[in-house]
Amino acid sequence: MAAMRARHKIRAPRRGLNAAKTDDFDSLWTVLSSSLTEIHTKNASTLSFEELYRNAYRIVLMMRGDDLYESVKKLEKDWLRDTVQKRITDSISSSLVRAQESTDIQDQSEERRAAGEKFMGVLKEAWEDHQLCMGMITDVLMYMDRIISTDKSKPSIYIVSMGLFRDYVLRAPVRPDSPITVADVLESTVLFMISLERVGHIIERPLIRHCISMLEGLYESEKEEGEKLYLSTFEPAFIKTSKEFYQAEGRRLLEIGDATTFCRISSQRITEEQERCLSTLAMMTEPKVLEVLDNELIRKNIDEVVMLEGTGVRHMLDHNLLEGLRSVYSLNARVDPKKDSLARVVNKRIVELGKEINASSIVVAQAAQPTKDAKDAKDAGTEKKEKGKEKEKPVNQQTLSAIQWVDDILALKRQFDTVWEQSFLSDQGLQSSIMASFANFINMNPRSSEYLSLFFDENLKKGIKGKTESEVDTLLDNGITLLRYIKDKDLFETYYKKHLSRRLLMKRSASTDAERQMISKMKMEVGNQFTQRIEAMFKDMTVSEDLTANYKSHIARSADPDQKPVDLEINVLTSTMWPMEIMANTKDGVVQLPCIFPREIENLKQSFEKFYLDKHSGRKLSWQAGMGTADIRATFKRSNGKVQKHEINVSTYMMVILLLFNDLPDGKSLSFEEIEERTRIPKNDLIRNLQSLALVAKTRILRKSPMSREINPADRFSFNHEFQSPFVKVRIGVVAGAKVEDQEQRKETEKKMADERGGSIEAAIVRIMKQRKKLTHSQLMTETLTQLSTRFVPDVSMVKKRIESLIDREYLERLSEEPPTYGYVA
Amino acid sequence: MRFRVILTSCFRADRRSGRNIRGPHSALTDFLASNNISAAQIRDEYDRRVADATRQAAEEEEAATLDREEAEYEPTPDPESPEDKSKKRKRQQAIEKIKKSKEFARRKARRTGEPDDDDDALANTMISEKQRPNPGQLDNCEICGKRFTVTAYSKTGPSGGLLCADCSKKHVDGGKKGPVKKRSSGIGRRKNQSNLLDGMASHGTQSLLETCIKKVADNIDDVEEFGDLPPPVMHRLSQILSRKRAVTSKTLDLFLRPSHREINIYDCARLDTDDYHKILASMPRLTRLNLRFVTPMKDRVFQYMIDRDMNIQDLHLDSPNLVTDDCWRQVFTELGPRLQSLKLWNIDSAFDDETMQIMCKSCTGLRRLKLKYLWKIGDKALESIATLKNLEHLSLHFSQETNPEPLLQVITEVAPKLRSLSLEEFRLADDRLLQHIHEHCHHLSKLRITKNDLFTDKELAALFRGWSNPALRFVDFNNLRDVDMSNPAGPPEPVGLASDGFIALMEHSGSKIETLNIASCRHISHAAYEEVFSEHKRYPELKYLDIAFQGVVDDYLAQCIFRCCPALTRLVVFGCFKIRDLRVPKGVAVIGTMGAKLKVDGITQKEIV
Amino acid sequence: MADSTSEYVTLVSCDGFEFILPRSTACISGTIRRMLDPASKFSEALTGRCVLETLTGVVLEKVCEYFFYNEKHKDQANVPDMDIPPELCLELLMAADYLDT
Repeated sequence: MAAMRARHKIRAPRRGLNAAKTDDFDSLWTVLSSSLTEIHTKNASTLSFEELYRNAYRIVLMMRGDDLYESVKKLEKDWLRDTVQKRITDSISSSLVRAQESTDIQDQSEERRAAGEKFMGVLKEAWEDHQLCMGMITDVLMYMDRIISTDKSKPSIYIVSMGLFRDYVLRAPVRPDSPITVADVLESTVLFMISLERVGHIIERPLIRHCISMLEGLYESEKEEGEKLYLSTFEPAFIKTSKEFYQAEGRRLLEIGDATTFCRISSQRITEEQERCLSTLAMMTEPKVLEVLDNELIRKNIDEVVMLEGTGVRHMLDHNLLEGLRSVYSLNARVDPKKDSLARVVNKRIVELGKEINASSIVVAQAAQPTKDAKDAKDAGTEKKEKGKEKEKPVNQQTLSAIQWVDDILALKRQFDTVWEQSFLSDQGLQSSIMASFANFINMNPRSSEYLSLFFDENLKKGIKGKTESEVDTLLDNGITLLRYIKDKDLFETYYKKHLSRRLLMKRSASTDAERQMISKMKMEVGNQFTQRIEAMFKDMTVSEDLTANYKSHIARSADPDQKPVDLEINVLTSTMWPMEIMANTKDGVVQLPCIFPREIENLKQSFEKFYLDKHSGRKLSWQAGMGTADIRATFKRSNGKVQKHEINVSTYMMVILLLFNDLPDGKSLSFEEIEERTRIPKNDLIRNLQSLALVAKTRILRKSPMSREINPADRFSFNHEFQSPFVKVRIGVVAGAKVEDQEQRKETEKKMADERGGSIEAAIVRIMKQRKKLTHSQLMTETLTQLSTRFVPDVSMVKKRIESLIDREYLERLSEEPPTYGYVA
Repeated sequence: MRFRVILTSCFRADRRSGRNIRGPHSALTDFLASNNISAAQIRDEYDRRVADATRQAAEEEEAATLDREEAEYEPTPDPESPEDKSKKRKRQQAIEKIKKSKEFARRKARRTGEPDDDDDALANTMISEKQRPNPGQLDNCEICGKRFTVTAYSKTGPSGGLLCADCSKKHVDGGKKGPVKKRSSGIGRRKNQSNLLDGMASHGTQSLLETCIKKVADNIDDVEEFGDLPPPVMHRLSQILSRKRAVTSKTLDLFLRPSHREINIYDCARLDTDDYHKILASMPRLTRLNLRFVTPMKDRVFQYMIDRDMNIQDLHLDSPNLVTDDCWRQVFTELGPRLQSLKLWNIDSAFDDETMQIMCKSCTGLRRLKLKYLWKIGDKALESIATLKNLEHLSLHFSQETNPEPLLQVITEVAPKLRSLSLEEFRLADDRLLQHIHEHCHHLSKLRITKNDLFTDKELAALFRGWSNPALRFVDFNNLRDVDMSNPAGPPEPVGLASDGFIALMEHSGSKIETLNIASCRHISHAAYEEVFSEHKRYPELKYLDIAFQGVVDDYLAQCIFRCCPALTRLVVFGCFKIRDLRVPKGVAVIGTMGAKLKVDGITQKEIV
Repeated sequence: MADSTSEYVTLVSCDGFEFILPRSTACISGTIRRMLDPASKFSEALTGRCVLETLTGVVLEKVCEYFFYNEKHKDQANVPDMDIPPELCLELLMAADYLDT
């Protein structure tokens, strides 16, 4: 080894190892060129790669690489032009060339198809051969490519030869002097095939795919930025014909006039195009052709399809065609993320159906209205005959209609929920638009709040009896769903409180648990503030229970043994929390003097007041006789001398009235006016209580003369010793005022509502201004409206009025006119 | 006569005839024998060639090398010495055992390439090594016979025994070499670092071509003639020789090939004026003259070029400082129209604005122009450049400070065809330059703008947003940053390439970018890096990335970079001190870490730079 | 003796030395890889035998040695260059260029 490290000359390899062969370009090229031709004629197996490579290598080392490059280029050009081009043009039948001019697809389609397939087959084969041969030639010439292309000034021979194929085959005229090129024929043939496939023929997909991949493999220029031929020529043409096709298809389908068919075929077309791009054309075309389809077939027609008479969305909704709705939805979703077309029709239908529900409830109510008095009278007369069964029924037709209304809406809601879930794939946008539609028609019914509250009232009183917990839960949830739609939540609150107070004071509530559940649900739905007062009502009730118990033990301790014991059960109600009409001791501005209680009761009252005020000084108790009940033990001396005793449960007023007769000698009577004067019971209440005592057959404890259906000031009343009842305990109800408000009461409620709202608005304005100090009018308006929106939707003019009023009262000041700006006055 | 050889490994079993001891036959030998072929014949062919090659070598040299050869091998006890038979048998068993050991195979592998490789000799060496006492034990000195304590440093004597400290010294003084230093199995750390800096990730073998080129360059003095080497190989040889500073009059001759059209010499410092003449005279077809460090080049070289009317199209010269302005002007007037590319570096004594003007007037066909460190040219030269409408590549690095306006004019005028643009150290250029580039350049694939602290991040981002130019392949924005030592965080409105500009750049060019240098653009935030190299981003072409002195880059970001750049081969991270512990993908060279732990393919190397 | 799918191929030098080596090993050379490409129809691909008219047996042997060297070290870091006798380096250089190795 060391010997080899000796200094010695390193000589170049002996040149001309195969000295026999000449080193001159022409002879080397002659060998090479004939071999390259052999490759093209598929005789490569007789060739030695090494020999070709060596020849090319030698030429390059002779610094003749550029000449070699050019010679190969020329050889390829000649080969393509003289041999391949002819083979291709020969395969193009004259019918294909003619078809180029005519546009009628159906024109001799079978013949054209066969000719097209033959042509494409030949073209495909030529392309594959060219690729294969050029691959081999490039391999043989790799040394040339390596040396020549180092500075990237020349594209590799492979790229060049591909360009030559494009120029001398694809862009060659199909006939001498013809302006039509092979590429044109290819394009029209492929488009023709596709149009055949679109009308349902089976075509040779792989063959087309091959030709398309050829277009994908070729570029407009040899430079880097050259665009694929497929993109520059074929795809635009394909998109154009697709556009025409889908315009026509849209028209055709609309003429059929069946929405379901339209949807079915459209979906089919979408799948078809996707498949076509996958298996016949190129994936990159898919978004483009689908866009054309969406535009031409769907976007332009969807409105009409949705509205189609008798088959459109309305029809589908009415017949619950979930499948059809789903395809409408998915089509609409393709072209419009908001699905406006569909939403419009659905919303319109919801409002229509909702209006029907509203209308029918009014019809029911009105049907009830005229018969109401008669029914009352009938009640009076037939009360005795109709027993327990009757009590299960809603008290009157109005309530019935309210509950019917709620049930109808819930049914409608359920129906659309199913549609939404199953056909609209729980789409968020549609959900809110459906909700808006429900809110829309629900709020069209001016009585919606009251009806809903009645629905709860009815259910909490009777409806939930015998139902399982989860059933109750669903029932309440349904109601709450509707509550969500109601705009004027404060109105609902008013009604709910009113109904609740009756349930509480009259102990009509079926389940305290259910009541509490209801409150917590409302709290979740509408917020804390909303349920505050309702909760306070419940609190009052529990506090009162304790109070009663305490008072009882207090009396037991300090009892004056002389006094007759009277059991007292008290509900102390916080005046601001309970409905106004219960608390009201004023009516139309006139202060109502308190009712005069009999002495025993008065003592009791004072005794309790003392007890209560000892505990809570500084409070004022006012007695609401209108709401209480009393148990009286009454003794009836029958004319036959027998004595019958009954325990009668009556309202406080009735008790007061009846106690008057205690002091009255038998057989004497009192006139209405006398009673009124001696009790100071409000006239309205007095009439109602006397009706119950004197007119209702079952509970006729007083006798009225003259016997008539009306209570008149001149009527006289006497104790009815002949009162008959199979029971020892008798409950005498007050003739109920209409459960559903009449026009007058309604107006009153609304007026009260308006007052209360005025307060809320002012409070909101002051809250905002206190925080912001300075605001423009528009900003203040927006903020006020947002703050109040959870409770009700205030009238803009009302807000303005309130602002004016606040300025007058110097809570606010005007800072500038342009733009109008207010400041807070501390 | 034909031979058939099966190579089952790359080691040739080599038996020198005349050896007394023969190890067991290798599989190859057996195979050859069974086919009635003698390996010796192949060997003889080789030897004949060696003999040919060495015939001229001096006898002394031969003798000397023979000595050296002897010294290269451990003296081994003569196997035929009168040892008693049992000892001999034991030894023989030991040899067999060792031959089966892994250590043996390893050592054998290490010694490839040394034709004297002999299994038995190696085994013997190992056995005598094994029999040596371990450090700390006592042994008798081989020469003086004294008893001494063996240490790790104890030397081996001529017959394989150990020497005491005194004799060791004498032994060395006596000119006898100790055992040959074991060759390490890999290349050294220094070489490794050097390769890293060259961007060669160290795994796998180099190509045979590269290996041979290096070998030729190593032995250039012994080369008489290159033979038919193709230009790219010549080019590479020239690069290596230039780097070794080995291009002399003599070696230059090797490159002078009448048929070649180009010559590239990257270091002409050792050539003289006559050598330039020689180049021109012996390469009449020359179209590309690429010579660097050409200090001795004088006017008459160009005169010759003009007289011969040479077809020079590409003229690339570094520091031709003895050429006068008159000569330059004449060259351009006479030969200018042919020039397609002109690259000049480092001229301080000549080449003024007027020459520049004449150049631009004459060289109308110029497509590529690069001027760096021409001391005498300034604003006026820029105005001249603006008249070169055919420019495709423009690269300027002036020594004089120039005003921003002439540069804007250049961009406006030459931009339409520009494919690469490099403007280094134009300190006064401002956002308007970026706006002009945005507006006028639509075909750039390479863009370099460096060393400037006036461009704002906002404008840099605007340059890339909505730019009609396709994605760039090469971007160099190094040192675009604010320099205010008192305010290291930079101004609130970022100056230089900062977060927004970086994001915009990568959005625009990420798909094609191959080379990216943003060294010292220090206002790019961690968040911007995270966004640019977030999980789903890919930069499929990015091979070279320089993020030197970007303090925010840490191990996490570096891993993000590796994830997003599958083609990366070089990552430059000088001054990125937060890079402490990296898993580097195979094939990536990470350059400039400081004491960081780099893990490549499971091999941990503690780097101490 | 070998067809286009055989695992071993034969390289033949201009002076008649034959080297049989695994196909994958031989294909480290770009030229040989293309020469043997089963997709091409050249005689070498069909027979699995490459006659390299420009290489002598000595050079080809060294080339083969490099093939194995390359294959052995392809996944290793810090591989030293294969040792090449200086007097062979120019010839080998030509061969490497020719074989695209």
